[in-house]
Amino acid sequence: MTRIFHRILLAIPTLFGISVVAFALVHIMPGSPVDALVPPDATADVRAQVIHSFGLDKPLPVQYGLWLLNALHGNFGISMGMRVPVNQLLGQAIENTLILAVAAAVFGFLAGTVLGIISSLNQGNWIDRFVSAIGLVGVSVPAYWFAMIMVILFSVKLGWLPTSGMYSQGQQGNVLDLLGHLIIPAISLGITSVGVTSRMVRASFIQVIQQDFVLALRAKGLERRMILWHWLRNAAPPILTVTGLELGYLLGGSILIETIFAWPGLGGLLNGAIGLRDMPVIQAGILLIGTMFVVINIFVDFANARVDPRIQRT
Amino acid sequence: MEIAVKKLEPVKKPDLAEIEETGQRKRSFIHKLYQDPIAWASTIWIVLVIAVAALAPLLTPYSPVSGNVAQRLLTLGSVGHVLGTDEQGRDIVTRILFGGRMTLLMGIAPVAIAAVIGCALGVAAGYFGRVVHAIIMRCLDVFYAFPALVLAIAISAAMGPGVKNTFVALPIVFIAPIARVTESAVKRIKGLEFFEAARASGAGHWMIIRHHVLGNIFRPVFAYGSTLIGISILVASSLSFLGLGVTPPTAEWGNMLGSLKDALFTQPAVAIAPGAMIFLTALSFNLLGDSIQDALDVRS
Repeated sequence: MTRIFHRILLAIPTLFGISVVAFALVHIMPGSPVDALVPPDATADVRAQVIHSFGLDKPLPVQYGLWLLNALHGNFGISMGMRVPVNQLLGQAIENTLILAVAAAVFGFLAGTVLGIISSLNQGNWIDRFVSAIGLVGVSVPAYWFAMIMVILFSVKLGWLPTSGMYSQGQQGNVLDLLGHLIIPAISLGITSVGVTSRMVRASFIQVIQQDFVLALRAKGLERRMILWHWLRNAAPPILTVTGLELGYLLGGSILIETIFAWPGLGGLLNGAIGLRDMPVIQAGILLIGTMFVVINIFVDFANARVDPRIQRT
Repeated sequence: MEIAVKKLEPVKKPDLAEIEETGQRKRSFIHKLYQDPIAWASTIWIVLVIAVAALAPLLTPYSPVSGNVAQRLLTLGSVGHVLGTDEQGRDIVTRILFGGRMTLLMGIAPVAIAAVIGCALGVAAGYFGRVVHAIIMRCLDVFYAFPALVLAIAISAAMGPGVKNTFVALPIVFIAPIARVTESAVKRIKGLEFFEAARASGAGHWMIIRHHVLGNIFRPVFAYGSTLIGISILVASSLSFLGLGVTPPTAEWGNMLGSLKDALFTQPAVAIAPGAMIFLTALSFNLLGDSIQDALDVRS
């Protein structure tokens, strides 16, 4: 319990830093944010009014304090581009992005683990080299290009899967329809994870195989199945860590994939906001992605401590 | 895009015993690379890309920025346009040749800039006492809290599109991981006898840093940096793809894909080439980075 508390306490300075970065983004923007709000020929009066209504006339630390206080209450201000409260835009978008990112993470984790295990069991021979090559392809391929190729192949040429969107016309909420729409985006988004995970799984398994306790277990005549279990528990922490990190990266990578597939998520929303230089939306998106990343990492730490009690002691 | 994962690898096993024998080491490093067929293959591809990018104006009769609208979106194998033309009738081969310049630049330059700044921060954090260490490392932790791509996109979005801003955004992404690698390398050196000896002999901080620290952190930082170039290429082309990096009409492989994605359904084949170039080049740099790590024996 104290450990959990301690870990969360440690995350607070980081979260504070994230909020500073998210806030500072507006102010490294060349020109005043007001320029995006008022027409160039606006009178000084109108300008002053707009500046005042967005609170831009207060000193920076005060602005930051107010922004953070509001953000902590779930109020991210008003979108400059769409003139609606930012949290109205965010709610559904986060859910849609999580659906995509989790699907991609599951794909990356399963495919990566299977490939990594195959690789480590065949250490050094051609199967290992072939599987390792697949892993390297995974980390080197631009995900958005891979997505385009998948669309060309499976949607345009073969016509098996839909090209974009989350649901077909009038199929809102139909899970099967959603799954069909999810396949290509999730695989495209998860392809990098497959590469990273398989490399990590391979390295972690090989390291565990070489440890004395595996030999000891074998020597005392333990069943293969049980040895595998010991093996998995020992190899798990780095794999869990990398999966957690991957989920965080996938939230970021979704910006590209959602753009290609017109997926109505956080990434698509952010991309739109970038085009309009809609800073409240960008700030909120960055703050949320950073925060989710930190939270995921805390979860991973706990999971690791559960799987491997040795970690708890350090 | 996967910086945080890779950062774990290079510093795992210090190879202290070998640090002293620099001359021997250099030869064996080149020798090891020389014997590695994968290093050869990737180097050949990289050299080829550099060569055609440098010689681009001599290799093609077309302009990379203006095209013939009457010939827009020609398919693969068209007469005079082997890889077809884009939505403005510009020759894809020409754009790829010229685009290689930007892509290479955005792969290597940000890592080089980040290496200089990251090394400085890492050395400062590792060398000077606890307070400096705490301040620098805690500040860098904040940058770790963002996935690399998100950080790059956020900074570029705030600063606006353009190559110049990409050269600010990308180094910021890479400074934190490089500083961490440097810091742990410096810490390791601090525990060695020659370091103690230098201190005891009365050498000043600057002298020690210049002679003993910088010389010995070069290997791990170089090895680590070499694995970042592929990532830098991918992140930079992603920025251009989103319209944040290299802006039209300048050719860059990422922004070529960005503009061709709208032609995906009418002329899918023309979108393949620019992406394949990003992929092969990033792959080559990743393979070469792996080979360099192996040859330098930085990985366990």
